[in-house]
Amino acid sequence: MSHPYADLPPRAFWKTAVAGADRRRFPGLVAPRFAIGPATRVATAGSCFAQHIARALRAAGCHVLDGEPAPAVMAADVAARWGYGLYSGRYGNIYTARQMRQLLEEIAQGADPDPRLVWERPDGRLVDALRPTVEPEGLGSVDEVLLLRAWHRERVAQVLRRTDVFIFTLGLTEAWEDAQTGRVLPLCPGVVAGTFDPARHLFRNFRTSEVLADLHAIHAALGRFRAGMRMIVTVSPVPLTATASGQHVLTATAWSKAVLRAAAGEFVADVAGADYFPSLELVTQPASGGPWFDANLRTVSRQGVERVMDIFLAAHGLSRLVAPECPDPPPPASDSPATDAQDGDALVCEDLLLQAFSR
Amino acid sequence: MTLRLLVLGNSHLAALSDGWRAHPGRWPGLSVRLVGAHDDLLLQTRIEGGHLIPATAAAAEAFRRLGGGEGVDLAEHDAIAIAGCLVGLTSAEAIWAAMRWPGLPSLEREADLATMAPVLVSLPAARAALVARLSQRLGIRLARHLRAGTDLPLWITSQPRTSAAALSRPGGGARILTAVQRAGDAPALSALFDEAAHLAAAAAGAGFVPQPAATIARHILTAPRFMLGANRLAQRPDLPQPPGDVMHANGAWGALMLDALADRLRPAVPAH
Repeated sequence: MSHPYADLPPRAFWKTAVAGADRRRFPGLVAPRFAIGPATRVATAGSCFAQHIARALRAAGCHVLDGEPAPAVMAADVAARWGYGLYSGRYGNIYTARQMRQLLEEIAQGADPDPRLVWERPDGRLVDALRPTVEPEGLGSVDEVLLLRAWHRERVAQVLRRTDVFIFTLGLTEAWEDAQTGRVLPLCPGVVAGTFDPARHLFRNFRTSEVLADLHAIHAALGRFRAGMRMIVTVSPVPLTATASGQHVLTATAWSKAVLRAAAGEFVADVAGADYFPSLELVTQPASGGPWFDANLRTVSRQGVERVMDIFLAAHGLSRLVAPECPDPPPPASDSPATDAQDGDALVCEDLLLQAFSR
Repeated sequence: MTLRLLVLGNSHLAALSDGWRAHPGRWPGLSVRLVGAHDDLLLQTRIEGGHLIPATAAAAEAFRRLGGGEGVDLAEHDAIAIAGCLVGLTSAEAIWAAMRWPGLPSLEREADLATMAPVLVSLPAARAALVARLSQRLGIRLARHLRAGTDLPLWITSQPRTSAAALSRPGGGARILTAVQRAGDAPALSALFDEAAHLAAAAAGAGFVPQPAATIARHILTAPRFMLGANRLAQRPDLPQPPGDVMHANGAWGALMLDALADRLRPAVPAH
C-alpha cells in the first residue's frame, strides 16, 4: 500500500516536528524560499513588532536600508523619539495591509500631500495624520507638515528603488478610514490629535479577501519600484490593545490574527517571490513553549523576541543560536497586571495610546 | 546688603575677571568670587558639608592657583554662575551643518530638497538635537553636578560667539559660520541656539544668560572689539591670549555679561 503520507519528511508530522523536536531551534520550521545575506538590501515596515526585525537584522550585520537616517549629530534618544531608525523610512508603524498599500500608491502617484490629512493636537500643534507620532512636539503650520511629508515620500521612494527584500509585518485588521480621502489611518482621530467625526471616520475590520488583495497590490507596487523585489510577510503576535469591533478583545484578537495569517498564507502560496515567517506561531502556539509574553499578557517578552529573531536569522544562515538552553519562563502574572509602560524593551507603538482610555 | 555671587568657569572666566577688575563700583551691592579651572577639572569636585571641594589632585591644584583655595563654602554665596564652559554657538554650528528645517531662508531658496545634502528635519527636531548636544557640554554637566548638591540659584552664561575676525582669516576655523552667513540663516541659528541653551540649562536646574546683544555681530559672531586684548585664565593677571585667538572675549565683554547677570540676580536672589 502506498499513500501520500508515506514519504513525507519528519517536519510534516507533529510527533517528529513538534512533540519530539528541539523546540528551541525548531529545525525545518523555516525553510526560506530565498536567502538574506549580508549584502542583501532589506527594507522593513509594519506594526510595532516589526521594529524587532530591523534591529535584529542590523545586529546580525545585514544591510537594512534607511532612507531617512537621523542626522549624524542627533543623539540616539532624540532620534528614537522622533521616529528615526525604526524602519527603512520614517513612516512610523504601519498596522494594516491597506495602510501599506496606500502609502506605496501615494508615493508612486506623486500627488501633492493632502492638507485634509493634517491633524491638530489639543495644544494647537499640527501632525501628519498618516504618521501622527513621529513629531512628538508637533509642527507649527500645515505647510510644514506637507513639506516634511513630501520629503518623507521622496526618501521612501529612493529606498524602495534599491530594495532586494521587503519585510512586512501585518499587525491589525481593524482601522479607521477617512471617508473624505479614502485613507486608512494608523490611529483613530481624537486619540492624540485630530477630531473624531463619526460621519467622516469609518471603522473598518478588513476581511481575509481584502487583506489578500492588499498584499497582492503591495507586491505589485513594490515591483514597480524595483523589478523582482521579494517580500517576506509575517504576522505580529502582539494582541490588540483595544477593539472597536464590538467583540471581546480576546476574540477580536483571535479573529484578527486568523485573518492576517490566512491572508499571508494564501498570498505566499500564490506568489513565488514571497515568503512567510512564523512570528505568530513561534510566540502564540502552546507547543512553542513560553509563555513568551510579559506580565501584561500583550507585549512579547525579551526572551520571546530573541528566540523569534534567532530562528529567523538562523534560517538565513546569518547567525546561529547561542543560548545554551531555553530561557526560564517569565514569572506568572500577578493580580495587578503590569502596564505596557512597564515593559522593558520599549517599542514605539501608537496603539498603546488606546490603553489610556480603558476603564 | 550685598549679593554674593560665585562664578565658576574655564578659560572664559578670564573675561569676567577682567571686566570685574576694570570697573570697580559698577555693580554696587554685588560681590563676586571667581574660581577657575581648565578642561573639565570643575567636574572633578564634590559637594560635601556645603563645600565645593576638589576631588582630584589636578582639581586641587587648579583650585589653589585659580581662586578656589582648598574649597568653596557655598553658604557664603547667594548664587552661582557658570561662565562659558562650552555652552556656545559652536554646538549649533554642528546642527546646521547636518540638518535644515522649515523656516530657514536657505531652505526656501533650495531648488531641489531631494538632493540636498543636509537632512531635512522639523524645527522641534533640530531644537531637541541641539538641546541634547548642549546637555553634554561642560557647563550643563557642571550645572547638573552642582544642582545635585545645592539649592542656590544657578546661572550659565553663554560662551562668546567666535570673533567676526575669523571670517577674514584663512584657516580661521569659521568655515561653517561663513556658510551660515552666506545662506542667510544666521538670525535663525542664533535664535535657535539661545532657545536651546535656555532649555538645556533649565533641564539642569539653571537659568541661561545669553551673550549681550551689544557684543554680537551679524547674529552668530562677536564684534572684534570685544575680543581684542583677551586674556588667559591664569594665576598671573593680564596674560594675553595668543595672537590670532578668535574664541575668547575681553574685559569689555565680561563687564557687559556681568551687567546681564546682575540684572537677573537682583530680582531673583535675596541679598545678604
